[in-house]
Amino acid sequence: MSKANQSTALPRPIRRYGPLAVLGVFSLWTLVPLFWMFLSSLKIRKSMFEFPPTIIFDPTLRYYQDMFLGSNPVTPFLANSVIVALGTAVLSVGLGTVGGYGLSRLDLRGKKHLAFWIISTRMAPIVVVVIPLFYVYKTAGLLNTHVGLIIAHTTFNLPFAIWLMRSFFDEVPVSLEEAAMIDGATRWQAFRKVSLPLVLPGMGATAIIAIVFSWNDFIFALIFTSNATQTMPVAASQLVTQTGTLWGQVMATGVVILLPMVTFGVIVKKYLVSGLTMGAVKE
Amino acid sequence: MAQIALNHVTKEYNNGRIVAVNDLSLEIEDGEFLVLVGPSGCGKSTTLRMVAGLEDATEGDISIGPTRVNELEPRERDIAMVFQNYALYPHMNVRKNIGFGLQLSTDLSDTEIEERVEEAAQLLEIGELLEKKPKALSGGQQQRVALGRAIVREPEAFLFDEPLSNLDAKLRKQMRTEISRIQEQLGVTSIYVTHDQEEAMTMGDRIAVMNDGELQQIGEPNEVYNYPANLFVAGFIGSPSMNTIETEVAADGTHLEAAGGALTYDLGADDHPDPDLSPGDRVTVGVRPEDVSVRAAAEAFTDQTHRATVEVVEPLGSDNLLYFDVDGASWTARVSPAFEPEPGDEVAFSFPRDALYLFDDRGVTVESRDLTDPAEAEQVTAADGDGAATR
Repeated sequence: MSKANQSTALPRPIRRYGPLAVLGVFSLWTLVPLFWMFLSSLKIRKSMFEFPPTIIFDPTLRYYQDMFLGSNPVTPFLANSVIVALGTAVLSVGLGTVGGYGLSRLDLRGKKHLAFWIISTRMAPIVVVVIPLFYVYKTAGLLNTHVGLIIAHTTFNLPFAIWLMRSFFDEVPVSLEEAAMIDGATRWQAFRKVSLPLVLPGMGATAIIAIVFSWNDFIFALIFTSNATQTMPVAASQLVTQTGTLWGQVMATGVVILLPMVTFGVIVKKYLVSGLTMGAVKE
Repeated sequence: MAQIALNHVTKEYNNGRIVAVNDLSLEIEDGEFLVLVGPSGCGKSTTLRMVAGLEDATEGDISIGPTRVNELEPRERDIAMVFQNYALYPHMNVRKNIGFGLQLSTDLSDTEIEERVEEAAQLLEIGELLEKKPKALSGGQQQRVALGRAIVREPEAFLFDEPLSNLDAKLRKQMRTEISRIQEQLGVTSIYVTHDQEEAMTMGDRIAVMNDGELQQIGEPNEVYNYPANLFVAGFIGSPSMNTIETEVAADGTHLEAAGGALTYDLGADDHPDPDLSPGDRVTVGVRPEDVSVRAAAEAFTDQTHRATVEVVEPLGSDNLLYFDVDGASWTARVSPAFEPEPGDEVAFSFPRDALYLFDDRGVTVESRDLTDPAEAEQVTAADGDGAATR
């Protein structure tokens, strides 16, 4: 390192602890509300709004009991959420994989423009398309169906899925497929037996992103579903009623919405990281 | 095993705006090892890829054995290819990598495939690596696996696309011998693409030199080295490159004069028959570095001695390479390691009439080094051998 560089470098303690401080603040910023939500879901209504909040208290599970065993259980909504999220993931990953493969391998004039056009469809805010889509759905009879919501979510996931999968296929050397084709494979076999296994982490990463989007989506679900097909976020929103907010239920529902995603995230973390960074370094 | 033939093959890109291979005709004999050599972008890899079926020929016919293969898919051509980056399947272990082709293209039973894989692994001495993934292998081992994948299929032809260029120098030499050995043992027709002229010289039964998409010369290594068809081949084959300088035939018709006057050469020396040149002809003179004799003192030691200032001395151990400037052209001489002038030293250099190459103004060879009489060639070496001259 040159002298000039040394003189402009930050003092050692800042270089060392600075990042930790920033990460610490970030962690507090994201985790404290979640922690607060979790604690509140176990508190009776009175102690929920005490200030300063109590950390040690007598926990109650009545909101959770209410949610699953009460007169209006959330289980069907949870099932809706799972169906829609998985459907969206399968469709997004499937179409994203073939689309990404095509975009990566095809020698096409104006490929850059095509790619940009695909991603540009993702740039419109959801609210802009919701009303026109509503009419389309109404005519097509897709309102209040799982399929309708899956299609809506896939539409919004697909551009990203295609781009993500394309970048994964870009990292798989063409010569691997060529070698396979010389070895006796058809183009399809080369794709399926050589390229596809190599982009599995990418497919995993794409699936996760699709699931998270679908699981958390509120607007599409609110507009396109009714009672029978409602997903968890919409169900949670209905706990805010004209006569008051059922805070305990809101908090418990929040935890139930969050928990599967967090668990899922922890399980696939390694996979996701290897997926998102695969090929970051050229071999 | 089969003969491979290319008949007036042309490859164009962008609707003819780029001509990668231009009207190439080649015949590779059954069991022959042909090396396609040339600088990068000369069309050699494109040629190989057309034979493999990875690129379509724009014009011309390609045949393997009696079959015209232009319209056949790569998998239908019964060839095996070794890629520069080896192209091993990262998610399969070595055993599966080698057996993959057999599984796809034959109806052999698993046991038979197993046997063939073991056999190939034994031939390449990679038996103990069979369960490993490519990532766990060194470059040299990966190269062997790539070779194994090719030979296990017992194809009509091997295609090699610069297979050694990712290896370090020592390993490269070792694998060079290995590939030659295996090819000879199996007797499979092979096309080997490289930009390394040394690889071409040492490995090929014949070498085909390409430049700008066109075949420059095809022949046995020594033939191409000793009798290059043109200035390009002369400069490309041989390391260090042939020394060249542009000259003009003087009014007397037997003297060559470089433009700057730094060099004149009497073609009539040593009772050599005159080439067919007329006064005023532009002629490029070429001399191989090993044919240039250099003396320390700037004195005349032959009839035709020239002077130059040493710019760089490169000791190779067995020889020293001297670099000096001749009228703006950088020349090299390969001399005995005992002769070590300092950069900046004035030296005298000379080259025998027999060692001369002459090229006309289009670069076509007019005259090559005269090796017809071995006794005479030996005499030349002996004459130069005294003192600190050439090897």
